[in-house]
Amino acid sequence: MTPRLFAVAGAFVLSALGLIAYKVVALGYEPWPKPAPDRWSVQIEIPLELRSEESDVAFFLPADGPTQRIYDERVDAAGMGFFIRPRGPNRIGMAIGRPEDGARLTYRFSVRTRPQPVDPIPEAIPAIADSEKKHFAELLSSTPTIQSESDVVAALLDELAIEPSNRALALRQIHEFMVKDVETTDGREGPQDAVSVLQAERGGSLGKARATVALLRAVGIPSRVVAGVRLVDSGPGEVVHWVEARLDGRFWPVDPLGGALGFLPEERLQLHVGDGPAVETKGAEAGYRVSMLRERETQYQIYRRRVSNSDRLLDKLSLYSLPVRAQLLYRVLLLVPLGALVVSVFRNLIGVPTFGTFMPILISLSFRESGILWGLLLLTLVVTLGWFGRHLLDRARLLMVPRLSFLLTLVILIIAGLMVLAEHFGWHRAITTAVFPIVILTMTIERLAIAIEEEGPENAAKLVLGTLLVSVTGYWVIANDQLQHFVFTFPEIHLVTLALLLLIGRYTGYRLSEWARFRAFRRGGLERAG
Amino acid sequence: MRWYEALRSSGVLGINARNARFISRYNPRRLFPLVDDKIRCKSLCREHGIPTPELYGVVEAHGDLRRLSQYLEGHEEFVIKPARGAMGNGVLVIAGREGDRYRKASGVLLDEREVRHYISGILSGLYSLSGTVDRAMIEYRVQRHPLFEPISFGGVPDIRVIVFKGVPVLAMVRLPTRKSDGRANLHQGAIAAGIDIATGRTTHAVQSNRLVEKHPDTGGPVLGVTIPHWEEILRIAALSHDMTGLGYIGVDVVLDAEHGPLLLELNARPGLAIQIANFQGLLHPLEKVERIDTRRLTLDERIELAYRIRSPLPSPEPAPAREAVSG
Repeated sequence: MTPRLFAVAGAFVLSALGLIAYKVVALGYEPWPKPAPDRWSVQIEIPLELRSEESDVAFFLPADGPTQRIYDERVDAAGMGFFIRPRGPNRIGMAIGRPEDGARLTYRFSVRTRPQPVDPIPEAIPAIADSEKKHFAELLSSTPTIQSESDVVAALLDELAIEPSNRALALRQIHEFMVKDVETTDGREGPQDAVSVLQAERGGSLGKARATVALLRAVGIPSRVVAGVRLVDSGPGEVVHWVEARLDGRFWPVDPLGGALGFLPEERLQLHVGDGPAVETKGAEAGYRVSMLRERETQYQIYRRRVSNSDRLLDKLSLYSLPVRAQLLYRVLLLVPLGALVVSVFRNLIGVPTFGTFMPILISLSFRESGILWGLLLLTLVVTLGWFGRHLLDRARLLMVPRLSFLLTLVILIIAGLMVLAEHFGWHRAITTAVFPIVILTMTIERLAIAIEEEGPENAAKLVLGTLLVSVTGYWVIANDQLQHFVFTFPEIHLVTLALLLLIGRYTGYRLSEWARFRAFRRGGLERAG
Repeated sequence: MRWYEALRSSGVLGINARNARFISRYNPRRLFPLVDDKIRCKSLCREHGIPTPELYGVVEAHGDLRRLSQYLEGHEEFVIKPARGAMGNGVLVIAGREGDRYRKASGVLLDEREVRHYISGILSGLYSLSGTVDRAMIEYRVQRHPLFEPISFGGVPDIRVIVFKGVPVLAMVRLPTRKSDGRANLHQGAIAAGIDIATGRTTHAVQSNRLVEKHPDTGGPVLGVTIPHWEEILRIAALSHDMTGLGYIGVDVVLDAEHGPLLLELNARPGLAIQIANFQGLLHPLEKVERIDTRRLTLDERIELAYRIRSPLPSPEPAPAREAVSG
């Protein structure tokens, strides 16, 4: 019996490994998802503090450009009217209405960046011609924050011997001065207009960009300030400013903070052109937060495209040929066997007691929706409140089916109450827990109550801890994105799961828990009581 | 893994081995209802001449509750329990009457409406193994044997015998304590005392994984007690195999002061704590019996076999205890 079982299990493992190896080596499947090189999901959040009844919020929306394409835009205007208007080279989003105090505008979108070829700036470009001067009048004019006609600017150019006759050389000199001689700060030390920064020889990202533009404009180079964020893998984005200089028929990026001239030192999302504030409001105070996440899902899209064009049998049989909705379902479903494997290991090899057989896995699945912390918190809250309710219910001595139905109703009301509470406190993450399997919760409460009564609080506590331990471990398996990708790409890995289950199923040795239970036999006797 | 080897060489039977090697091989699933339903089990016992506590009545459905007082007529003391309950759950012991009311063993008085409600809970499956509808049985309340007076608190002790292929292999008596709330439930704190199969004497006793020599509530010595009617108890245990066809069972017998040994219930998935109570593993005796074709043996021959294969007799003195155990 056992050798044959080992042979079957071995055959399962070998065929799984063979298929996986073939798909990786010959068909070029990726075992682990690679982060998409060029896609991010970005969110701009604008929390509002009202100062009057009506408010009026305008903020810049990033626009398509040579380096980026914006798509999948979604806006939550907090109950205000929302519309999009062009303003100069930018797009702005306007929200008008009566939001509640503390409301937040959120604007989400995806961005796909396009790398620009790095061209050298020509060696020499002559002084600006009158036609060009007329055409780019706006990019050459002096403004209250970019005082290009100020004496300070002229004196500085004179001192540095920067001549408008070779504008390519002037651009390099100005850039070198800004990077090397003007100290970079966080921009909070003083006024950030061009003249103040040039006089203090220190400034933040916005101030240095304004100063650079003032100098460039003074030597006849049309230029402008650009605002954007550095794209990182995940987390909040800090708004940075840089400069675009128009020479030789195109805009060249100029970064006054780092050493880059003609290209940017890292990938950036361009939010808007100009040196104005990101948000303008009437009747409210607005914050401004940008956060982003590099998209990883693209591997799925790449495979799906490839599978739909392929004639190969294994490609056709792959789960990527399913409709997208079914794929989303199966990505999760295919992890459930791993969860069941976790349960088998805990129950049969370690000997951890749990409520029900698959209850821990159902709990792990619901943790997946809510996140582990909220999940644990809500589970504890609901079960505690529900158990308390059941305790009171015990005195009413109801029959089983009405009692369970009563408990079910109670659980749903408790969850609804907690959801309303979560909404008020702004715990948006918690709200998804509404899908928490309500029947499972009801049965957990019922079993917990019976366990406490019949087996004593100590044993019931063991059951609770065992269930939580298995649920958390199961969650760790089920919520693993890398594993999810792997299992979805190589579902044949479940042959290995089956092989392991066969082996665990025939394991007749001791469980780890029996190490403690039968300690008398390990030690040659028990301790005397008292 | 030294602990693993230590358990194996002591012949400890683990849960996985019990399920895979013994229960799934020797207990066919279709026979489980014979023991899971105590009413069926009781009528089977009657057919085979095995004594059980007398059944006063069965409440099959809520409609029968109207006839409850009829069932209870003439009985001062009785026990109400679910036909499919597990581990002694859902048992109501009535120790006497006071006027119209019933007195629980704990002294609490119940009126007839409360008793009806209790039974109605049993019928709707409150205590049943699978939560399905159940029947309630009303039966004779077992009287504690005088021998057990000094070594039990509250309820009646019961004797558990593990029977494999019709051969008793290991036995213990479960003594209720104050900690176990007067119930013979080991994980609630009842004492488990291992019994030498050959002599019927207790040799080793454990409470909550600690060695004990005296009953903590009464102070009576729990070691060296000879169980009366021991051979008859072994016969009842061995016959239970013939009666059910189950190869690996736990037979629970109570000793009534008046009627002697009575079969209380059978368990097709008996627990493993009996090994700790005896300080002796189940595996070696089970393997010895496994090699023998017991179907050809008479009842007497099987009892004889049980005497023979029992492990070397531990000294009747208290088992050696280690005062301080390190590591």
